[in-house]
Amino acid sequence: MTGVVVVGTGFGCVTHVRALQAAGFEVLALVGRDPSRTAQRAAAVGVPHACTSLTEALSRPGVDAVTIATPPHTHAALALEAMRAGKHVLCEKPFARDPTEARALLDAAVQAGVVHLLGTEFRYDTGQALLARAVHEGAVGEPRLALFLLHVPVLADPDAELPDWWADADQGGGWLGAHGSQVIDQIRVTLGEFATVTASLVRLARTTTADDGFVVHFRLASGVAGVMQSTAADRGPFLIETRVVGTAGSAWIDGLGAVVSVADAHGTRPLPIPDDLRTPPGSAPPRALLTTTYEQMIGHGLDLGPYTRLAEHFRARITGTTPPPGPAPATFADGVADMAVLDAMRRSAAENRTVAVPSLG
Amino acid sequence: MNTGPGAVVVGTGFGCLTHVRALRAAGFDVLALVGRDPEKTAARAERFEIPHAFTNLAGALAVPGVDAVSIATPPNTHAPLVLEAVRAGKHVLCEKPFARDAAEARTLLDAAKRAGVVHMLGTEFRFAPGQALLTRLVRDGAIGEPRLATFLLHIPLLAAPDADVPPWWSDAAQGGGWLGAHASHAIDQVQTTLGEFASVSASLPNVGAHAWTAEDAYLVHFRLHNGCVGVLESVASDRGPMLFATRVAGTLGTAWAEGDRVRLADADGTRDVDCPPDLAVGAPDPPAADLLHSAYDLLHSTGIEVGPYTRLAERFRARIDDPGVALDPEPATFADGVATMRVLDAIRRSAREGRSVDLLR
Repeated sequence: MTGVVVVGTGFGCVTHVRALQAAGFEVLALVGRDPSRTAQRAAAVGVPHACTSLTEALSRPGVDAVTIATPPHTHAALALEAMRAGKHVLCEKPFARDPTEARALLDAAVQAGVVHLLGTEFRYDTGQALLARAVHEGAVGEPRLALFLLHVPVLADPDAELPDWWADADQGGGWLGAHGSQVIDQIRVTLGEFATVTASLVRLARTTTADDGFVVHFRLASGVAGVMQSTAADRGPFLIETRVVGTAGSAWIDGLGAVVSVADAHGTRPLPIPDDLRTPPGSAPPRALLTTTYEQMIGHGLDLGPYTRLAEHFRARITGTTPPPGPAPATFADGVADMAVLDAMRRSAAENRTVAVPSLG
Repeated sequence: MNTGPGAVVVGTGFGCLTHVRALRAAGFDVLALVGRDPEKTAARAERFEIPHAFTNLAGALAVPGVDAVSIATPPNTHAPLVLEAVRAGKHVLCEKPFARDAAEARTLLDAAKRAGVVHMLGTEFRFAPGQALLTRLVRDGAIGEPRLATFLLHIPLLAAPDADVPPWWSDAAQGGGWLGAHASHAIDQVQTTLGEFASVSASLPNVGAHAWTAEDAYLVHFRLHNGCVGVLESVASDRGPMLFATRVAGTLGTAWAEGDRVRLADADGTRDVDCPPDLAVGAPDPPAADLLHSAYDLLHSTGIEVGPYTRLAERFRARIDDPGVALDPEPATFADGVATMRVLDAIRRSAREGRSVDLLR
């Protein structure tokens, strides 16, 4: 068995613990700030030990790896502590406070010689993975224009309960970091690296410093132009569109599902789902774990299948065994690249101008 | 015998399909048609029962009883026609895109003002019930402060690489392309519904890989002076399913159009907004199929613009009869043409230079 410590009692319990267990890890300890909440939630997901510090958890025998699901501004200290203890690390996104911190974490991981992965589980979402593959295989010809839109009402109620950090831009909160970082990774995987971004942050329902929506016009190094736009506080009907338009046709994901279709000169058809892109079915976490609006927002269970696949990759890299099928997982190097894009978007929004994304050699 | 103002229509395409029908419905007496090709012009004049056909505007202006000229020719030909008409003291209704650039638009506005004639722009969709109602709703505060606006349209009209468009249309230098043809409406809608543009960041791709210098798609991120941000995005060559979204999210709710139906979602739920009688228009009136030749002509095959264009023509007539008459919705004048051209110029510059472009108030 590969022993793992999970840091974070929210998304850590709702998703990490369950995915790690499904991937064959032994989850030895849960780390949280509040002793009674941590103990209670560890018990709810069958984790034997509850700790209030990572140091305490790392002192337990059999720990090979650490997964981190805490607010973004706390990632660096935790990841560094784990890597200095020689543990493999899987860290949530948004990865770090800024590109400099992200780079320091990547350097530390390389130096420590540990496995380092980023929690971008949606690389394993069947629809997203299939769209990326179809585009790479030329299904739309040369991609020219792309849309990534998601309007949902989950935070439309101004009284929706959120963790303190989430409502605070200085602590890495907000919808651009939470959702935008996933989309950034999806765009990089599907279409390639970013060249420039022009971004605006939106506050619909929130009176806090963090955004609950964003609009970004991006240009990629390949010349593809696109929009990534989302809000978590739109009371209107869902608006969900993931579409790539190219010289030979268009490809799109049906909602948030697994069906990807292509329309070209020969007509419109759904693509068959290859076995290697199927993931285990998702399932909602125990109800006892979903107490706040935020936990309900992250507790839809749709990500359990993709996260399990990510955890399987993590385990295969640790044990040196054959990886499961499907795309390569994101590492801290992707964390550095994603942070460079996120940082450029934040600067663009703050300064009302187009910002070039530095290319990372 | 018609006793309304006498009108000359310049342009045998959209001029016949829409202007002639709308002007007549508003009580104008269409006295002459002007076109470049003598045979086509004579044939079309006969078909539409217009008494005179000319190959130049000067001849038409000499017909007794001409009070007004409506211009439906390629954008790079508008200026000399408008100037000739206003110098002859005629009232002018001119199609959009209004001019080659904002500077030319300004000279047309100045000339019309000097001549003291009524000047209007062919932005008929101000009178489309859905758009007019959405504008009224947002301006009346139904969604609180508007913060995020989305205007999307993907259609397959020009998807074929050899899609048939008028020669001027495929040429960026002659004012062709999808931006001018379609975005002029959307820009006018943003300006009437939400406010003035502060900055734009744009891409103008040719998605369908046509051998044109003009674009078949546009993608614009915008920021308004009031802080509202959004996206104007459209592709005329998308083989995928049609995508329509006209939606404004604000601090209190979201309003959107579904065709001519307008809906509102706020803390009290989701509901239809009734269209008041003053915003209703006649049913779509498709032109005869044999009048539609090119793929581009198919844009007008539904006849949805005839009802709104009739409202516009009625306002043109009302202002000719009484220049001070109050009208709601207010029709667009050459001043709006200048404002829209400034935004179009900024969008083109942004796309060319790969950066956002600011617009001063």
